[in-house]
Amino acid sequence: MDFVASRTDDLIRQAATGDQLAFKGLVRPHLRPAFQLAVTMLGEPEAAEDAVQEATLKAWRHLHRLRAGTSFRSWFLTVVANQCRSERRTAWWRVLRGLERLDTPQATGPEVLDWDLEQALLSLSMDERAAVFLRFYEDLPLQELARIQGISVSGTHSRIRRALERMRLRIDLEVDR
Amino acid sequence: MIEDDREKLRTAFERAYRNRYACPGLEERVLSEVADQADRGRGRLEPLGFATIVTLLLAIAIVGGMLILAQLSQQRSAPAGGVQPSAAPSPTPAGPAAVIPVPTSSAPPSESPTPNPAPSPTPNSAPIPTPIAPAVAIPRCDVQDLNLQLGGSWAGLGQLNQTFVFTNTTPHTCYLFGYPGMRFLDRSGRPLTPDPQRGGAGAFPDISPRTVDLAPGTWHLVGSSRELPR
Repeated sequence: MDFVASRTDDLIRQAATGDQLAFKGLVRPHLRPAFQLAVTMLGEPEAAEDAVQEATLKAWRHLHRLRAGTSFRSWFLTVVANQCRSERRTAWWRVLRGLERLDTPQATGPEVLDWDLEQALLSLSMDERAAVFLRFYEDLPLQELARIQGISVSGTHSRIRRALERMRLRIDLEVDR
Repeated sequence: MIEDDREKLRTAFERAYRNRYACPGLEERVLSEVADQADRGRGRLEPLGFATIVTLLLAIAIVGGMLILAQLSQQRSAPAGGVQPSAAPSPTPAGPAAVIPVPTSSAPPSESPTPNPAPSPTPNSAPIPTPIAPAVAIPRCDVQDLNLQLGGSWAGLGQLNQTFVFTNTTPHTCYLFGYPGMRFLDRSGRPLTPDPQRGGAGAFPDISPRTVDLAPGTWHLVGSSRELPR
């Protein structure tokens, strides 16, 4: 664990001096979780990839702002989450929203569960979706999740609890029946 | 209560990411843009070293001092009670903003950090602004910067080819990178499968993702090729 942390610190130091390879080594393991966070928040794979791409460029440009002792993962996911919020505010997003969720599955089985989950997630706010993803898929501790979301730990806990209660209304009724 | 949901949610997330949101090649696409921008010497906003800051402040002080001296000597040489020529604008001291080759436009690049304020005459008392290196990025084109139009289309060899034209509608240069996301829908708005692949196909050569600078008013052509049903 110490070795990993020290290796990460080395990469951060090198990347901050403009070492491109070090930056790639640093950010690569976090790109997939970043994309999954973005697609959870935005619901559109193309928009999610754009958000991750933009966030990665921002991370590259502003790496010197990362304070010593801060987890790179938390910092990077915060940049991604902020980028998703920013994407969501654009006019183009409102156009996309008009097109989405027209593909209701006809099949039964796992796809329906996926669709139910998506519908349940869509009933949440974007930040609630992010909280559920980070907590239950990425297994982030509440403190780190709170940092990424920019709220207190107790606020994060309440957010997750609220989100689950609302999701359970849909998932339990549809899936467990 | 929360723990009860963990496994169910994890499984469902996993399936969704594996099936619908697999996004193969994501890492390579994302990192290739970073590499491209870095190779072009763009986008790296590094803090300047202490020595550079001191040099910069000294230069500002010297230039400012020279300007004040020039102005004083001009006032002395002017005839008493005469009218000072006001047509010539007073030169702006070369502050940190002058070392940033941002395209001259009224719209500031969205990527740039807050522009540095004008140099303070008392640098010791004022907070030192975060300096940035001269290689400031040309901003990426935002959606609102672009106008999208259908270009020409043609069919042949079982393919339907369509071009799209992106035009930069802003007064500043911005850049595009890689391929735009695209989805084909039928008349009722349902997505057609398979999902489009980004890369070369059909009538369009396979060009690896690269940066395209769009000057104000210029355009860039993107093509799509779809196999026609037999």
